[in-house]
Amino acid sequence: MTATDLPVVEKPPEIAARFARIDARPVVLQVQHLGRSFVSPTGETIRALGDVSFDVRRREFITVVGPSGCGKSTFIRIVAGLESSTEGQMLLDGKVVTGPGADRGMVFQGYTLFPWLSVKKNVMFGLELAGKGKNAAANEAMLWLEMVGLGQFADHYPSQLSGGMKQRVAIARALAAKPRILLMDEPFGALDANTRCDMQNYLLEIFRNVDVTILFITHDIDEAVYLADRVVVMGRNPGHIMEIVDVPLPRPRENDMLFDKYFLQAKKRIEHLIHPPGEAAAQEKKAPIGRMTVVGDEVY
Amino acid sequence: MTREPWLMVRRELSSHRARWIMIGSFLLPIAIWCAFAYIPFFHGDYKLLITAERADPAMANFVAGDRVAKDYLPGYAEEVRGINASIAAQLEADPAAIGSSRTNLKRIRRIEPIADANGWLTAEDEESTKAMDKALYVAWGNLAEGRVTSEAMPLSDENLDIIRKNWEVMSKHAPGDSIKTPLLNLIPQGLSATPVFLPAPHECISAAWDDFTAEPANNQPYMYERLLGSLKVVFGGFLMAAIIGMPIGVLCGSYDLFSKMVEPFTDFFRYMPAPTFSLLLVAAFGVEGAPKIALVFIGTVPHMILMIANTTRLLDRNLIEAAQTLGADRGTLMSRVIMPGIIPNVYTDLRVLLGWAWTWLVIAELIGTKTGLTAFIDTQGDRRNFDRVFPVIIMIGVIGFTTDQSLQALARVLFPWEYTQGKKSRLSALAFWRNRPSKPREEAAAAAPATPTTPTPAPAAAS
Repeated sequence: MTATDLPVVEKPPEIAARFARIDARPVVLQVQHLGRSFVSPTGETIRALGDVSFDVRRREFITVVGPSGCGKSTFIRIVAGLESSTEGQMLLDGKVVTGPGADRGMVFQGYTLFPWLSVKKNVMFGLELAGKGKNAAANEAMLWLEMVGLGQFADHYPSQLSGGMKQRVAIARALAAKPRILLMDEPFGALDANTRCDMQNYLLEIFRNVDVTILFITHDIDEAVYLADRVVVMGRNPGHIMEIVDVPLPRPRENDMLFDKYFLQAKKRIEHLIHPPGEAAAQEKKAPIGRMTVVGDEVY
Repeated sequence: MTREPWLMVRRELSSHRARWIMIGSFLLPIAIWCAFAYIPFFHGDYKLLITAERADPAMANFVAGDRVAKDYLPGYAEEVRGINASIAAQLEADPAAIGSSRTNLKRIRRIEPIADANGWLTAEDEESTKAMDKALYVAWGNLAEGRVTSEAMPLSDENLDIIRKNWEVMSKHAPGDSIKTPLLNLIPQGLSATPVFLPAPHECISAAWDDFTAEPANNQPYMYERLLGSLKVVFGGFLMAAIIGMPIGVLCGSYDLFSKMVEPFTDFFRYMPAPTFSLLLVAAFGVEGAPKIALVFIGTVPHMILMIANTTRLLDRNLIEAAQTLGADRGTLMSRVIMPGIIPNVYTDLRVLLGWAWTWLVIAELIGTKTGLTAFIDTQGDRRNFDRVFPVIIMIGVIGFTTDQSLQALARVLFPWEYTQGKKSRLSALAFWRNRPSKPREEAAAAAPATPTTPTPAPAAAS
């Protein structure tokens, strides 16, 4: 399929102007030809990720979306420094980075609050490592907790919080360390649909109020489009960038935009990139393996 | 209301039921013990009160208090009847026959356990052989003339008959005189009793009272001194194992390098039974306390290293990665993530390992010079004084159990974050004083503010 067959995403003039402004901002993270191969137990070299390159600009919200197995998790772990790349490099503010560091904060899919620390002390963790005194760290931690609406839970243990609350604390903890870029690896994947929707709005509000750049991994196309300025669409074998889609929606985002014409255009294009329409039709229709009803109706 | 079934796979019983079952789990063994000790139906043995000489002097002599199997006693009694018959035959042939006065004295003294059991002997009687013999002479007379009867163990008619026959001879002599006319043997008789290895609870309690309070003879240590000695061995070995094993275990769990360096060999080492090193340890450290502590140490430390390495590996790797993305370096990871993260589980491991250390105690105290509680158990066990052995064994059990339970209770104070979900210890239902379930999570949820987000479309009301 060629790009011309794909649904087109229109870009109204005010949105085009917005992207021009974004493009004028300095680059925070440069990913250059990043790739990763590993040797399987049978001895073959498998390339999980190959030649991934793009720039993230200041205060940009980028989501990476792709089918499972496209290496998007590996990619963000390499950016975080938790795994090493075998090809290419990345530059943060123009300097090559390897290994994990406080300049790239991360929110994980699983709950990673330290269970032995109270909510406040969890948020203080990064602040103390940055050399802040106990009192200063505590005061700042409270500000971040208020920001995510959990000030009154400062002295609770993480195990006393619900899943959504835990992720809000995790976001506060990551932001408190003042990262140059905040990496989020499917942070709402474990939450139920309602909480997830709330959390997306929380995150948008935080993004509006805090000077932060976000790189966000998800497999949910709605989520990707709703949150992002640009959506990086990844494909499999090896994991690579298929296209970077600019989302033609203004900020602040509202729930109603889920039904916006431009939203649907972008969603459709990404959908078609990930699941080309011909593919599903090509699959042979199979009869059910067995009858599970005794009713005389033909159920298929 | 329907009653819940008693058997539900992986479901907890109500705390009411759990409590009574757990109380029962302690009462049942005690009840079984009492049943075997006090219900004659279960008794396999007789505890002899009256014993006699053997027909064949080479055979083992019994003394009062010995236990014999129930089916053994009739043969023994028959044997003594045979001896008596030959004495009677001798007297019939020659009424003036002369016997050994020494043998007669022994036969007279066989009444002592009966007199003792009935409380006929005073403290003064027990002071000298002479006074004792006189008291026993009186007892024979009293029994023969029916002035007293043995309440502690009713004497058989056969024995009463023998007592009267002997008294005919004895009454012609003053107490303490040597009697030349052969006397008859009392026929062996005993009380139905538990086997020697299962002394009755009250026997154990009274033996324990004596052993734990009375001043021991022959410069032997007091029981509390023995206990302190044993505790020193257990905790000495255990603490050394902890000081050396814990850091190694944490390193092995944290770094694959140390894991590969240490764990395979440790795994091999732990299969070599620690007691096999005992003579080596004695040769190296002497016969006093050191080899004992060393034995507990080498019995415990391999398990310590392997268990703690494993516990460290079980720490959620995401926590470490999260800390790394917050700027933690290697030292910070160790001190602020790995150590606090594994401490509650290490604490549990240490509780288990303390139990291990106790199991090495007995072997440790037997090597070199026997010491501590084990020396007592060993000596008294050799003498078959199991009523004195049981209390000590039970004491070790009680100490181990209470230590473990108090450490478990202490964990709630030390690691409060582990207990926010109302997680309970296995025995918590026994605690009558705290049975209010804690529900911090529900409270937290109730106190949570309404989510301050941009309004989401309200779900259409179900029509």
